Amino acid sequence: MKKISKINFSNLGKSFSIFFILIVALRVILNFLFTKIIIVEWWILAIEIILAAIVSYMYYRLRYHTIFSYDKENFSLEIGKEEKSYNWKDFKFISLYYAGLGKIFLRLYRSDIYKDDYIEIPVSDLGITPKGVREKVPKFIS
Amino acid sequence: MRDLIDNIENQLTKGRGRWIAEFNESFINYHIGSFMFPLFVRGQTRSKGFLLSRLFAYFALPNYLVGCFVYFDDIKKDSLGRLIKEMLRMMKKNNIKWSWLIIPKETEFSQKIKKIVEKNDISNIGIALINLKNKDIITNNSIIGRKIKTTLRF
Repeated sequence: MKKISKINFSNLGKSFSIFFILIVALRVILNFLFTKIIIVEWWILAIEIILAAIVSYMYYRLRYHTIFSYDKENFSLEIGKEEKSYNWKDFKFISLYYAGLGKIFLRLYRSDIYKDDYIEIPVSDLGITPKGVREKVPKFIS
Repeated sequence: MRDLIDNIENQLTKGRGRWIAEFNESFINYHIGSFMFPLFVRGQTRSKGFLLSRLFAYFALPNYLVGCFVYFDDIKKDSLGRLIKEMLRMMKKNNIKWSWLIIPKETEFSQKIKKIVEKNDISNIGIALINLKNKDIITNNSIIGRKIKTTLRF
């Protein structure tokens, strides 16, 4: 099986920002509760950045990191902890869905394009050329 | 032709038609009955936007489904009629409010076809015949049809 995976810096940055703000806020609150002063030191900031980087990377791997594996008959999509496998032949229609902000998904429909029975492969997150993959996939599903 | 398909798809999905509709999904080689469309882009009249524009769109804009079909084969009077019938049937089945039908060609369209399109008064299908050589665009007289000329660049 061929495997495609790419670190999505947008999602990684998003989780880093959230955890950095949380860690700093928690530290300031605890600091104030116990000492009644807010300590501002460069080494504390450095520790917070390193801690936020570690926690956010772990969170990114558990929640957002996408791995797409495929061969001529099957493919699997792993987003965070969740992994699902599919057979190419179960799908009939393919489209490119432009979700905005540069996010593009390859949609695979099982029966009708006007029914919500589809799966989405985040091609922009995986760093795949959307139009290239749209031309390649019909060879597998037909 | 491949470049033209990419061009139309890029224009629509990158927001060229956002004043009329937000096109956000494209299919290639899409079949309706016996007709094969090299490109079908679909969307809706309610745009997504961000915060205020999203709120405005939610309250002020109707959420109609719309589509844009691109057809390449040499078109004749009969086949154009059948093509429109098939499109109307598909639109009714899937609750699509209006559609564009774009027919590009490297050579001149016959006078018969041009007249049929110009006289066509279907309100929910906009038809555009595009002569790629001299960039001449002929549309039907509906509002939807006339909008093709002002929205897309060929």
